[in-house]
Amino acid sequence: MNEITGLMRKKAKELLEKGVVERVIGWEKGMFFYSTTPVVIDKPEETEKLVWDDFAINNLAIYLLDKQNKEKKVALFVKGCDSRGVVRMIQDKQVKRENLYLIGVPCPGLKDPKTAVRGYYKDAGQVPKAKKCQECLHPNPVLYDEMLGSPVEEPQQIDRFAEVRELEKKSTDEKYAYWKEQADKCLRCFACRNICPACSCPECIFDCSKPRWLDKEVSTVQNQFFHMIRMWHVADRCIECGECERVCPAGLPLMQLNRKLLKDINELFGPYEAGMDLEQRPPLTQYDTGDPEEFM
Amino acid sequence: MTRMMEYIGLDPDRLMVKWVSGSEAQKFVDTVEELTEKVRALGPNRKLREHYE
Repeated sequence: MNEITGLMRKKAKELLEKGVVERVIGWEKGMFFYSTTPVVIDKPEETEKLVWDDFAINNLAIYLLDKQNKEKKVALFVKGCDSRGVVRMIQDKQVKRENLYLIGVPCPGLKDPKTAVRGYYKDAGQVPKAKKCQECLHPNPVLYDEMLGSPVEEPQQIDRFAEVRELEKKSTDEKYAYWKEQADKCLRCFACRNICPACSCPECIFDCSKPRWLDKEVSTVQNQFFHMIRMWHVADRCIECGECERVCPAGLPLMQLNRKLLKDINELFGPYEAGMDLEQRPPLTQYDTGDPEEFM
Repeated sequence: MTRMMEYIGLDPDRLMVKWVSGSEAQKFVDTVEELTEKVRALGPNRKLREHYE
């Protein structure tokens, strides 16, 4: 991993000095061994801050939506999940491909800082892999200008819908009770929305006050509606990076909602994974006369 | 939509989506009656309603 940190710094410095890009987005080391946070670098001498370690888990794609980054030439370090986020944003015309310089980093599977803190681990080696990384099918970047290091082996034997299938077996009332209990915990902090690389609207439906689609009051029922609306809004754009679930302070199993819709999309429209291919449109944004009409 | 309602623990029978043109008055009436009958048979919905829980 340290080898990649060296390559990262060198590459970032070179790009900034030559003026290929105006800004580099990567990760820097925080105060503790488990804190690695995103960093934005404008000057070549600051590139020494860049690191790549076990906790560089943040999906950086979301920072491209920031207004100041949209108009600049930006270099971005991308893991598998980050690159799929970028593909989705290019497809949605949120960012321009020519404004981006993507540096791919094959990802061995990273660790969740929250787990490190809660488990009282003393060093990075003891911390287990993050949940989202255990479920990851594409650790290698799908879109990049240049790759640092060599690609890692892609796992084959993971059933991404296992949890959803398990939950579907329960009775209607059991499922309702389960989701009610989850919504009860929700703080409505909007962390899941804010971190999501698929959520790109400048004005979100939840912030809109005329009409007020969702009450400001944080109650179980309103939270249930919040999550239903959120899951539909990312439906076929969810790249399954698991960031929403990772940042949730209340530990809601949000991927069980996102994956349910993806499972249905896979069953109804054929195999689909968002952000894998620049040319493939998400099934819900196009129309075909052969589309299924289950309940019309 | 119906699949998602079921997953959340709601009754998909309470949802109806139908294509009715502005000139198809009778079809509209029939559709509304059909749904009303269906929902009446199911009884009042207690889910997602704070006051009942």
